[in-house]
Amino acid sequence: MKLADSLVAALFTLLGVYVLFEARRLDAAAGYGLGAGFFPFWLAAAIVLLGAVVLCQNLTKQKLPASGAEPVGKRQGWVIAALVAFVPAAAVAGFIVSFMLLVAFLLFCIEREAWWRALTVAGGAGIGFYLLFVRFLEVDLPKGVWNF
Amino acid sequence: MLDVLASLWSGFGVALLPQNLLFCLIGVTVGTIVGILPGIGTTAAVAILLPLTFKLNATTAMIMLAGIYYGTKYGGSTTSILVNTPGESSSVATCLDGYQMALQGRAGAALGISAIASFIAGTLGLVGLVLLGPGLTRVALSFGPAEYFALMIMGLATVAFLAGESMTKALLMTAFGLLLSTVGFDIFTGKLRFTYGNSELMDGISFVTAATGLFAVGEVLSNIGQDRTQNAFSAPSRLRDLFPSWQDLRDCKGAFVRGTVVGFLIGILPGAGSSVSSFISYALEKRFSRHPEKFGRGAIEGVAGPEGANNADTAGAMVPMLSLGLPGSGGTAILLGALILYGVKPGPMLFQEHPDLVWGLIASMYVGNVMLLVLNLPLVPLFASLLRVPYKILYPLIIGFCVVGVYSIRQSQFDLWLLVAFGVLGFGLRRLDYPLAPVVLGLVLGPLIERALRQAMVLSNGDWRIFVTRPIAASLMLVTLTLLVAPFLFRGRRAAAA
Repeated sequence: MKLADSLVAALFTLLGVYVLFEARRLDAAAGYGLGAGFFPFWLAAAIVLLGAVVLCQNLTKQKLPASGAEPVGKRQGWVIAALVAFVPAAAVAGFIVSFMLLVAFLLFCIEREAWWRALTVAGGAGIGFYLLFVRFLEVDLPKGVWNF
Repeated sequence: MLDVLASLWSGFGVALLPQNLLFCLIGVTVGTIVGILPGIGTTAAVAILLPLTFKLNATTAMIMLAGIYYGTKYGGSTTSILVNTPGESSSVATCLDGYQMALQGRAGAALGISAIASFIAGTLGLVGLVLLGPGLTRVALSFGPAEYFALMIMGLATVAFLAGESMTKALLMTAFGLLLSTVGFDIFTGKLRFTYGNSELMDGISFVTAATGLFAVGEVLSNIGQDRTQNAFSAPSRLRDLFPSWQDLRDCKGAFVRGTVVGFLIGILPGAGSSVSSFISYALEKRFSRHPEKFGRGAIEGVAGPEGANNADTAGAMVPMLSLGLPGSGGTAILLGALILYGVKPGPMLFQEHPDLVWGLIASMYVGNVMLLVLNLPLVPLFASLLRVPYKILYPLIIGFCVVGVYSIRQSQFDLWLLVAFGVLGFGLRRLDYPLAPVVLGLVLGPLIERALRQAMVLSNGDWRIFVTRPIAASLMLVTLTLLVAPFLFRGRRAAAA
């Protein structure tokens, strides 16, 4: 975890350095006060400084207090992958259909639920969301190629 | 004073008309339900439901809309406590201890104390609105950009109290949140910042997207990682566990009062927003507590204070709206728009020209608060029983709510990508003990801080001394400095003592 913590601090520091350069392209001062680049520039400077402090703290510490976190598992990876697949799927197949597929996938493939239970929950969730958000609250959700 | 009481009395005559009572009840009920749904915040709820009032007269419509407005504040705490998903920025502070209480099987107590705090603060706030409104409005008017900047910075400094293990990490997250808020159009110069040709980023990053991703999706991923999908929460087993105990109520006495005062005073300041009041209230509770180490681990005062503050803020925000025509928040801006829509001209003459409407509205808020308490307390067992649903069934639904909440704001596919990205970021940062609330707070307050800073600099012709020569700004800056420096000083002293 110490390595991961140091890596994240280093990434924030790099982000700060990058934004420092980007912010310099924007004007720090406008004709009538501070320019568009002033605020991001100083925020980036603060990020560089704070990121470096966290990095130094990690490097000088003997041992980090245990965070209780477990290693990233396959299931988390699959859930993230399912979410990444869900976003374009919602644009193609519409929210309701994609959401039912997502729920069915999470329950059947990741949580190892019986197929009939996964399908029942997925169907119920899809219908429930449709009635609540589309029909009752008239929320505009992705419709997909079938306009549904 | 007698005039005020007489006006309030006549207001009750208006508020207690059967038609107004009915629409007040509909308003608070719909508000509570919408508030419970993650991602659909107060402003969006009032905006979405505004067309429902078009067939009503102005007074009844305003009573119903105001009911929705403060009803969502009651309901907003429910998702913060049960699924760690703040529907509004003002509910972020409630997540910190409310969700921890839920994990410990005290969801009922958290929901109950939230309803009671909301009722007490909402009612006391209305007393403040009636008695102190005109005078406090004059004070608020003396706030210029320098004072606003100092106030917002003080709001951010409260992250020092929310820092958990590392104040440096909290400050880093605050700066990161502020930096995210700079994405999009610069309203002063019209220049685009960090959009890289992406038109979706021109309007900036929505705090709802960031908060939902960081808190809700990140939490889902964390729970899966800790193999808690079978039982993430300890559902309360006994009926008495569903409500706060007498000890809980005794512990929260001070929090109720402090939350009310903080929320009301900050609510009066146009533009300050209830997120500031709830965070300041949280920091205040932690400072006053005999057990500050319990904060972030399920301290009930950490729920009572912010919940009280964000409801008292509602009454406070009504002061400038009704007396000056200045909306103090997004929700009151829509209420103000509704007034104009009904042909009522808001401003200083509103009390004289439409006393029935103004005092009827104020009186209806007393009635609405009672309705909300009666409505919410019996529903606590129902909400808490949601925790009996196995988490592996619940989390796909939570993801669905997140997607709907985020997509409904701008109908943007890009926002869904941002949701996933913030979810993964929140998951990673949480594992490394980076506090997430400061990111959201920075994102919410960033535009306000930058605007106030730049306006102040224009007013002072570039002289930075404006922040230390104006008494209110200087006092707020001093408090901020104390908040930031004190933890280091005390740590040094403790280390020396050890």
